[in-house]
Amino acid sequence: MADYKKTYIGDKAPITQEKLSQMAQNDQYNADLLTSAPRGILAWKKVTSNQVSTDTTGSGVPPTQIIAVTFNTEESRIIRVTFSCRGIQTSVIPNSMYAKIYVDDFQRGGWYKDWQLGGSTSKGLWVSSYTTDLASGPHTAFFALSGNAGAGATYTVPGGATYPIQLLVEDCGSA
Amino acid sequence: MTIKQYKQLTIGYSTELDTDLFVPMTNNDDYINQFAENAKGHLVVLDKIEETKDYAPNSSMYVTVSSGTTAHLYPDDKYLLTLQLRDFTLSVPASSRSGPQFWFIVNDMWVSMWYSMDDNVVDATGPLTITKSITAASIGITSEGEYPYNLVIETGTSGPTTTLYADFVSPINLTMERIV
Repeated sequence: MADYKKTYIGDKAPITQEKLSQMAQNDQYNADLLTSAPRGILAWKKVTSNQVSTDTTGSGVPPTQIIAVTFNTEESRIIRVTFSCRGIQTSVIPNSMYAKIYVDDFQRGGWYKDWQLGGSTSKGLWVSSYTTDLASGPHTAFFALSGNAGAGATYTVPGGATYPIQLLVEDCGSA
Repeated sequence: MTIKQYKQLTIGYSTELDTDLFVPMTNNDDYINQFAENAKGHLVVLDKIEETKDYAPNSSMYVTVSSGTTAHLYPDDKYLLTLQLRDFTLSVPASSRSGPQFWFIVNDMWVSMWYSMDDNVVDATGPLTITKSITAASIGITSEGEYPYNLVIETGTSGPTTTLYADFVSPINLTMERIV
């Protein structure tokens, strides 16, 4: 990509083939730069009520979705999926909990070990996952939760007007 | 260069192909270029560690996420460095609980630090085992060109091993994002 060069055209700088060529190169430069630039937020969702998972498979497969969004992208883009919440409550302390971000049923990241028993709320959670290998087209991102505390256990993500559960998908530029 | 506002141009059969047309066309190119050059938020660095590793006891352990970047950084612009860990385990002797500490090192300068000692204490009297999940930290830096950057873990002790957990789906992420 040739550098952008200011093109001077005026009374003392006549229109020439060379200058029109420079203008064409400048347009290409701008187009390339804008194509690689971030597109910003592609999708965002918030939930203001408690979301409960009773998934005790431990492995989280099949995952229990807490929050999900759909989005469109082109290929070869850096996609960041961010989940945030106030914390996670459990009815029984599990040995393991699986808190994961998925895109199209493929786990992209996440793990969690700070949780609280019963009504109290553990520390807030903010986690991002990055992917660069999505194909062009629609996709679904979701956050899933499960634990291995056994049957009857519940895993709750608290949600409310002042502490929403949020899922955000961003285009961070060309990969 | 003073950038003039974008001007809608209409070219028809009777339009003269003269300087009155091409001057605003070049101005429009400059206007678009101004926004293209100043696009923010691009992740110019995305590095990952995708395997769990034990780090030997020491006063400081340098975990190199990347030893530098060839990405183009605009001079004097600000970038946001963000580090995210899946989880880690530190074992610290009861006699020395001043750490652990996590640091970013950018361009040989220590620019950020955070630490945690109160999470999931397994044994409060013996060696202290800490596990912490999905930890993230960010720091803004001003670009002077290309940076080498490292994650540094300092336990402040000669205690046992530190383990950083990571795998393909839950890597240690380090990103650098243009913000200003």
